[in-house]
Amino acid sequence: MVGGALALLFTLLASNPVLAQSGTVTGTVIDAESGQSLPAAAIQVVGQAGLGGATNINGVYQLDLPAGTYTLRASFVGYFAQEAVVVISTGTEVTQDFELAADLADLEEVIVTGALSERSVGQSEVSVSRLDAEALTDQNEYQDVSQLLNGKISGVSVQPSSGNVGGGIRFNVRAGGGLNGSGQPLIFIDGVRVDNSQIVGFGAGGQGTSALADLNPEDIASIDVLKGPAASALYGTDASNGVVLISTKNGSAADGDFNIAVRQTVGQNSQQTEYTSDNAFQTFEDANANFRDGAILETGVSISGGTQAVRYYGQYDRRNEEGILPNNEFGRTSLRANFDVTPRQQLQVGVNFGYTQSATSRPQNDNNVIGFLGNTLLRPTSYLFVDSLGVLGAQNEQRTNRFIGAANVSWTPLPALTLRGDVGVDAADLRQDDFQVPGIFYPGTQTRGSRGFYGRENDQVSFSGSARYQYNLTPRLNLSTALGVQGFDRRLRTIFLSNFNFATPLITDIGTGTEYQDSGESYLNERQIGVLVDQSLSYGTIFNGSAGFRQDYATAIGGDSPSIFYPFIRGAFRFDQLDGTPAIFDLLKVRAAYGESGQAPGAYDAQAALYEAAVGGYGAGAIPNLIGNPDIRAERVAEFETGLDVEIGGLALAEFTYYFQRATDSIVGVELPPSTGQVASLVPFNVGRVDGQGLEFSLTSTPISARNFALDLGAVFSYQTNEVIELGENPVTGNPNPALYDGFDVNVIRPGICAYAENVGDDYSPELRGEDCPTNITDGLPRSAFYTTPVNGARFNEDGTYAGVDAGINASNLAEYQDRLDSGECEYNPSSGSSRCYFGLPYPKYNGSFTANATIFRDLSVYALVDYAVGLSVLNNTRNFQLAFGNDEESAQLADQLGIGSADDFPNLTPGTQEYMDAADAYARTNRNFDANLIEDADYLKLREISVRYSLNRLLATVPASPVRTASLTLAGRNLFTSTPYSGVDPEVNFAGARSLSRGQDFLTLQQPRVIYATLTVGL
Amino acid sequence: MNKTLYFSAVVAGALSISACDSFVNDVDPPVDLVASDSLNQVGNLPFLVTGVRQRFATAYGTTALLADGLSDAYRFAYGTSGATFPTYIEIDDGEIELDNNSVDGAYQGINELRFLADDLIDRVTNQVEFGDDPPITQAEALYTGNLYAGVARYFLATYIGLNPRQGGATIDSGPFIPSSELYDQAIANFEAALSNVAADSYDARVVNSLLARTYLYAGDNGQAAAAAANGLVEGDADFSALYSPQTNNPIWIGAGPGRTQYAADPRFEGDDLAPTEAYETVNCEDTPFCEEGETTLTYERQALYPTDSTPIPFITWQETNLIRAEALLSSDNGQATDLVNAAYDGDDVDNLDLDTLIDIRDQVLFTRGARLVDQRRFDRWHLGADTWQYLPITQTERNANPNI
Repeated sequence: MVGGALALLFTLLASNPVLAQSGTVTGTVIDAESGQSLPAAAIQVVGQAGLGGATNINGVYQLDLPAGTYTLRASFVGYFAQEAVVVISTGTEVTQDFELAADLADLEEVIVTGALSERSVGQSEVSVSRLDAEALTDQNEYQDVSQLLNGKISGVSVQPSSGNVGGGIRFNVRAGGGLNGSGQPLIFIDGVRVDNSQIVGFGAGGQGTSALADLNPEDIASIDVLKGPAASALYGTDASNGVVLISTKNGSAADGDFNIAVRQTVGQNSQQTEYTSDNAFQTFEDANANFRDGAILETGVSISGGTQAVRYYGQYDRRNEEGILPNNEFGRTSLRANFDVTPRQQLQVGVNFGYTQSATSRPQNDNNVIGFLGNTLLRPTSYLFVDSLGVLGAQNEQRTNRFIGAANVSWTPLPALTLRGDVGVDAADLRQDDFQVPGIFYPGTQTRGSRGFYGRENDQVSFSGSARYQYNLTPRLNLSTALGVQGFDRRLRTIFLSNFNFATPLITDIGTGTEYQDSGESYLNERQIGVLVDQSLSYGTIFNGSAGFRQDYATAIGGDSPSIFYPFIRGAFRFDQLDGTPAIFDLLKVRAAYGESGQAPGAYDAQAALYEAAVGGYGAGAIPNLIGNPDIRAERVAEFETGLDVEIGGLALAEFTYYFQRATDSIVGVELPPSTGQVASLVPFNVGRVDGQGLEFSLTSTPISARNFALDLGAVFSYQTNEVIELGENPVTGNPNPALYDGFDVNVIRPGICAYAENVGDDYSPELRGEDCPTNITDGLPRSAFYTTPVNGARFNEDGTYAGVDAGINASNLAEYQDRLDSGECEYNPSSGSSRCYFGLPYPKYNGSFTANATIFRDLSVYALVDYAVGLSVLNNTRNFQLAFGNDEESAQLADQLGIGSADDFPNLTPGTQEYMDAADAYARTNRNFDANLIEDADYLKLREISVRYSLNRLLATVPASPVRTASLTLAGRNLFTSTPYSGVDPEVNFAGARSLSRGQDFLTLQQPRVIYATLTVGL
Repeated sequence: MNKTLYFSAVVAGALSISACDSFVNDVDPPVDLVASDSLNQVGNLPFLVTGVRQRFATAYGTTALLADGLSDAYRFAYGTSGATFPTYIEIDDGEIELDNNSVDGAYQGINELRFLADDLIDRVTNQVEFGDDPPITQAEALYTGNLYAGVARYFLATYIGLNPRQGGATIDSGPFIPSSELYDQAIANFEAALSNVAADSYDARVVNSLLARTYLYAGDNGQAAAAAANGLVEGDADFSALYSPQTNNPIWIGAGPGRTQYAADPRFEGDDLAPTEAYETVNCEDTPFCEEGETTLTYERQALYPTDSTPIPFITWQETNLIRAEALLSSDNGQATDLVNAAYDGDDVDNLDLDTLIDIRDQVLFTRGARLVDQRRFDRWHLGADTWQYLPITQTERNANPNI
């Protein structure tokens, strides 16, 4: 039925009357240097919107055009466009070939530079990173979007929270914007704002899953990333951490072209780093025995094609993947159907449909004792918490049905006026089941068995409409005025139910649990809408500029809806377009931009207090659930960026960007003193200010480009830093808000403090401000820095024996810390005796990647990506608990040497000797009561991606009437090598999931797998 | 023409702003939350009162569990399947870090109870309009509010400390209040509760028993005896904290079948007054309790709370008797002895002495958080000199409260 409808649509549109009484122009498009044909190159008829086509697999195009004179423009990603004039007569065929020269910067490629603006790369006034996802997925295999993005874009890193297949991810964008929200960018797919939540439900340990796991990377054509408010201002509230714009694939406009591609991947996940006695003293063999090789199997079939009037793309894809631990599996079936139709020359219509059905099973790792790692890493004997059968039987499964659909229409009623409308929906139904086997002991559940289900429906509709009018004041001075509206409506419903006491594991019906445990529902409806204005100006090809604003509104249940004004202004100047600029510069562009965006408060934050009905032994009673603030406003993040883009002689392209961000009115979740009784939640206040800045650099170079050998090299580098400037005053006390800590009291958000000096008075404290501070206010610390009591070494009894840990700053060691006290890296309060120092960051200060892509004899390509992070620290919480339970080799050996351990495998050292004191110092640094002992340097260098691809296309072209037009075979790997000083097994993971204030904390968290695979792609 | 265009643009702009405002405000309300102000209608008073009781139950159970963990009534069940919380080990050892998040939980629960009780008093005094036939009278609501306001302050005075040997806490982010002053505040609340119930009612006897306990712990034996004389009497039901499958008994969770992290001290083995049951047997080398020549160790755990919903007695007529007996111990030993013999099912005592009374209190009040107080009061501390005898005011309070 669907096929029939599509055939009818195709037939109707193919008989487009615009193309009657036509002649034909045909030709090839090739690389000017190598002579290689360029398939899917675009052929546009200049000045005739919607008229054009594309080359087929052999680089050949054909257009049927009404008789007349036309300017044809051939363009292809990575090449300078070329134009030619052709004269078409009725019933004749004209040949027009194009030889395109390489263009590293893709200067002609159009990218999205804002909600109302698209520019060619050469014109863009902001740093927008475009990822050619189609090329990457041709060369490699990616499980999800996070893998596709990671390491490719300066200023953006994508961090998995664990090695679970289907696990959560966290975007780290530039310096991190403000303090409010999840710190994540907005994500649009084909114009639809999509859910990017971390979905927790029952959670498996601290981990959730990523809503982005539902998107099949094979569907993606390109990803544009706007990295901050300078570019994303018109996306309004919640865009302060940037915007990720994902475009799915479209069909070819080559007339009558029809392609079928079949893709088959087989692969394997395996344990990347084995545990040793160094990090799992007596149980490392048990821990390693948990791991398995997990199979990967993916099959995809896509069709694409089209005419000048209609283009279509469809894909079916099925991926099955086993993780490296039992109970970790991922399955995803995705269907996509995209249509682009040009029913009339001035009218273009697009509809995109994506449907995904996914299933994820996750093991119980991280912060719990019923998982594989918790039972084999922490204690000297394995499976003391839960029997191994119980660990295997504890299961968490999640199934999702998700539909993302978008429709857009673009109409040009007048040559200068373009109207555009978009509407889209992201609708997802999710069910999660959590299960513990009856008859097996679990802490809490005992042998009763438990079963719970969690349901989540998330429906969000986004829509936008815009009108753009272009006019020339002079032949070179072009103006363009655009007005638009963009809105969003989200409805999120959740429900859960859990029961205990099941008679048999054979019947899993939750209704057969005889002990009711808990249930509940929640519902959230939130909306945002903005009115957008953009005024652009260009002067020839030399200057582009624009300015505008967005007036934004957001839901604030129970309060006044925030109404926020977000302005922007930006410009770019092309020195290479000036006559005096040496011709060696293909591009010499200076750009600068300023913009503002924000983060809306939570929908309930404007309520003074919200109560829930807590069910207990007395019935249902009113208990506070959220403490809000009726005066709360949106956080505002302003950003200035400036940059220089240089392309020299078609050989190398370099992009430099500097940015500065200032977040004001930052929403700080203030933990009121528990003695106020206001403990239900943190209370939001607009009191914070954070400054951030950074440098981004990317380099693309093609040092060798010969017929039989080409080498592309790339490098990406980012430096980012931020400083918490202010946390405001506590509304209860009227005093400056104290530093904010995560639940484990180690990640901090701390502004500058009153520096300690020896001559301060008795009333000194680091919290003193203004004139009360007798010294000076120091710099603030970066957001989420590790900040805890320093450890100096060991204390000794009079007889020289070990007496405990010498920790903290005190009168006797002040001199050692004075520099750090002066700078604010440390604080010391002599009246309370407390002290803390800065111990690094849970996110890298410097990061980047290197890529190399070599094409040998035109058919063989070798690609590698190495990425790195510098200035990264991790809190090794796994070791914390290993120390607590006596499963740490270093600690045990040192205790033995000091004569205070339970074993006697080493000779005791003599108290008072240097050897004894050294051992005592080292032993003190294994004391788990001090987090400083557990924070480790976690810089890393990873061989992230490597692949070898062999194309059979040229060979197949020599086979007469071959039904197979294209074929390629890829062998590849991921996470093949890691170099890091971190003593755990993976420095990138975080036990508390992808969105928590607890960051950079490794606690029984599953390492990322090493992946190898082979892919065969055949095109018919 | 220009004026018309300008006017149209202004009108369109104003309308669009108004439409945008309406669009974002026209949303469905949540289904699981209600604004605080909307609870000021008299019909919602029972909902508020139940909330106060609910928080009392969790605060009491959690505090009693940790207090007994700090005392010598429990010991951490090293080596067993459920005993994993290092924070519980810290408490058991009396070497408690200020960021101990188990203590945080108890401290927050007590303070929220204090807030909810005070808030109830404020609502029924200043905000709720009582009609002719309210579902709950103002006096009943004030009784509940003052009862639990007193209980919360009693908890703060008894279990929370600024320093290892300095009891007391803070209220509403204020300066440190020593235990003696908090006891005074608790007594004032209890007196206010009494003024809202009939003098001969069960509710009044409950409050008098709580007054008696508060005076006793504050060191005023005379007032304790006087209050206890009007307290619960034989035949009165226990005044207990209630639980359910949704809100579990915290002792069942932490020292019972739910997840045994604290086991009972071995002295309770076979004690009918403080019933225990054999729990897991472990390799005793995995524990600090291994006696020479032993290879295994079988833990005992409390057996008073077999299910997640078993109530925990908070004040009983038996404890009231023990309070009176202690207050009369030196002045009227005969009556004190009779009161104790009536209060427990063990062998009768002839001439009650303090040691015997302490031991009987240890048994009768097992699992109710009383042993920690008795160890302090009678100098029977079992840990080292620098160890905590209170649950510390937590780091979160010290971080956020400039007066601490």
